[in-house]
Amino acid sequence: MNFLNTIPYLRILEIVILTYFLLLNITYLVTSVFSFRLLRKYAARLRSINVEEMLTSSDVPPVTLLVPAFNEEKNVVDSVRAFLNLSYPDYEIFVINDGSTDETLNLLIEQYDLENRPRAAPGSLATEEIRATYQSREYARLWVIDKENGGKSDALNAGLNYCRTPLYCGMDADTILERDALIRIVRVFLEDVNTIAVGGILRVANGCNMKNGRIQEVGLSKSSLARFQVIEYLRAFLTGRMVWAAFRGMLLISGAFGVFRRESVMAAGGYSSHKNLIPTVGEDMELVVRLHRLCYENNRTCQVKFIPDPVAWTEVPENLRGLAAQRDRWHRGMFESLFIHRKMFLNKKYGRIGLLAFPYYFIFELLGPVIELAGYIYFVIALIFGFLSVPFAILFFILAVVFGIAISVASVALEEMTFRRYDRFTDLLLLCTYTFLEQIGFRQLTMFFRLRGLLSALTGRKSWGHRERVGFEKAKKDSEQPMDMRRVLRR
Amino acid sequence: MFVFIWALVRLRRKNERIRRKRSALEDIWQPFILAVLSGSEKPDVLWRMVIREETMHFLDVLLRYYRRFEGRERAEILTLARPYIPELTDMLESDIPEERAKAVQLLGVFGLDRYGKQLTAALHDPSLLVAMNAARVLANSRYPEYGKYIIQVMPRFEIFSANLRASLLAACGQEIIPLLRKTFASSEQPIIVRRAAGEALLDLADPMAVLMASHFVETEDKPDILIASLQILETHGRLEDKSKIQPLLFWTDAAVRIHAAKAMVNLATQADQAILREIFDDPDAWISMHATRGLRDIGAKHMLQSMAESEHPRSEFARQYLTGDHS
Repeated sequence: MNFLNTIPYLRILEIVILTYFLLLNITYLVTSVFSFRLLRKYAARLRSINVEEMLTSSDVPPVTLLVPAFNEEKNVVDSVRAFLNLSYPDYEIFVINDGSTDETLNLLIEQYDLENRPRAAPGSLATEEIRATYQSREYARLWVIDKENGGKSDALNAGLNYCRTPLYCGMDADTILERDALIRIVRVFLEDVNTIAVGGILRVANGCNMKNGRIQEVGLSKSSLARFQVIEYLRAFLTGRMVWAAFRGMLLISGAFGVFRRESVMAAGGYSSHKNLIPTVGEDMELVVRLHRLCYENNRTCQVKFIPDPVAWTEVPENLRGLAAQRDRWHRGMFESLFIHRKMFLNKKYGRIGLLAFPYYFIFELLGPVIELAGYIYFVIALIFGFLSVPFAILFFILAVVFGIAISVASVALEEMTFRRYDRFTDLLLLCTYTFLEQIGFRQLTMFFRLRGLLSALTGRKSWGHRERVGFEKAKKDSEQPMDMRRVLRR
Repeated sequence: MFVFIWALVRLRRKNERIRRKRSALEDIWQPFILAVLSGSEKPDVLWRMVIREETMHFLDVLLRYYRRFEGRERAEILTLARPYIPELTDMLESDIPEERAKAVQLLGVFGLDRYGKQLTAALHDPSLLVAMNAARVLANSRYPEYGKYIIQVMPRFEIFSANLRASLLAACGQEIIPLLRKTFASSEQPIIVRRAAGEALLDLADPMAVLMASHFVETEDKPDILIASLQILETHGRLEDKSKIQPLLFWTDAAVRIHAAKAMVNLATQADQAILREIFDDPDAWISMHATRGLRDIGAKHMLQSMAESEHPRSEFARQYLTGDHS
């Protein structure tokens, strides 16, 4: 203590670290409580409407599924089969073959009896060259757009150019949509004409039994990393997005599953890619932030929403390399999105996005790993050199670990109270166990990966690492042009 | 923390208990419901079995059967539900909008004949969810007279999509057509209501709507009315309407121009090559696309050929239509 008193800055550092953790946890706890109320209300609302009735209704707008695919030969045929089996009255599927170097295109041509069929593109977003368009003789709603490689956002822009429906669903080729997911998510657009984008819930497919592109039985993977991510996804979607959407401050709709109003996205200029606007690895977040920004700047009432019942199943990384690359990419994407639109930060012109969502994302999401790391380093150094104050140690433990567990348990509880997808009792117990384990190791690991992402964004590193697929045996494209920060700064 | 987890485990156990209990109840009820439907048992057998706490679950089960059956069986299901309807009317007074919405949904199926007044009142419920549910059940009822009440509250549904509003009115059926015509024509009605009425007339294939639309494209200047009229003309327009549509091809509002182009394309003949070529240059790509389709439909192959070979930024459209895009 005496040593500490001679270094007052350390005391200040302690206060900063504890305040940060306190604020973070209070935010999480408040959102958990809000989320509990919102989910209960939402579940009651669902019971009072008839989704089946909507399915047969002729007034649902047509939707286009935009499915970018790069070297997806292992799964693309099954994925497309699952998309063809969705329960929705009127939809088209565009698989955008982004210059795959494997058999992706040939398999699609062979399996779905594709014929080369020109199609006029009403959109004019800049993309890599389109080689050809194909339509299935067997399933008229299935189209394949074959183009030069340009990355996911470039592929989405190419799909958008050909899209003729008022709504489109952006997704990954390895995402499995539940049969009624589209009708559930489109309902939101029908109920509010100001809605420009809606995100559904992403759930972890690892460990689930799948047949013919459908989830037959929900279960937990044997991989610990995947189990940790189940808790993370529950926390992020059932707590975080639910509340941010209710506050009209949602800055992110996952690129793996989100439905957008085509007109709004086209008016905003489409997705950022190396050919269009500013290249970024976080094209999904950047688009949503840009949509918000334009709505405020043009004095338009716009709604970006999240609903928890349309489900998309996605595979999460089960090895450290994949996880590191994913978190690195996500964090860089977030940094780039916030940086590009930094004008919105604490700017009252942008309402609750500028005054609430932006500061939250900046302080707790973007800078989170920096402050957390500072806390851990300080804790270790103070312990080694013997100047660790007991109150700090206790408070740090409570705030960093105990609260963390409580918030994770709350997320599992929210799931149990609402959708109960994990039917097996053992799965519930395992999830509870992993809420504890998550705080020791996994949290620190992801913090490190996120920190690395932040550093690579600041230094403008040229690659976003390797991304491996395990459950669907996929390997995806792993390089994309990073944002040139100097170029952005000059703008 | 451990208390939290313990509570979670208890919650799971409770949920499982409820699920098992519900499933067991359904197993008990099912043979009796089927027996009542087949006429081999009287409804009071089931009435004696269902206790007050199980009412809502029983009604949910009956709702499932109601959707599965038709005719006499449906009437039997309504009889089975009858003793429990008063509870639903109590639910209409709930402070929770979702409960009121649920009550409206069930009442719309099981108690429409006797509780139309309450359902009509629900159109004015402060919650839009409840009002929309009420509008849906009234529109889908066999009583077109509810149509006028739905039209009255239609401005409340401004936030809903135009299609949804129109299909709501169309669901009221053919008998509501005179009222829809009156609404479509009335300048005193809010624009969104007139548009919904116009589009509902289109859904109901009203022949008179064509004459009204033909008149409105000449006399109205509100985009919503023009769009509804053009939609009608697109489907049921006559050759003489072309001259009235033509000025709208150059309207300031792009949405109006698009609908005008669609209507024009559907009515176009060989004589309209020039106008279709002209609107091909519209700043909006959708209009170019419709124009190209129109040129293909009237067999203007030479013109498409020359457009395809030109340096026009949208020459690709002509090329693609020439090589067989029928989408």
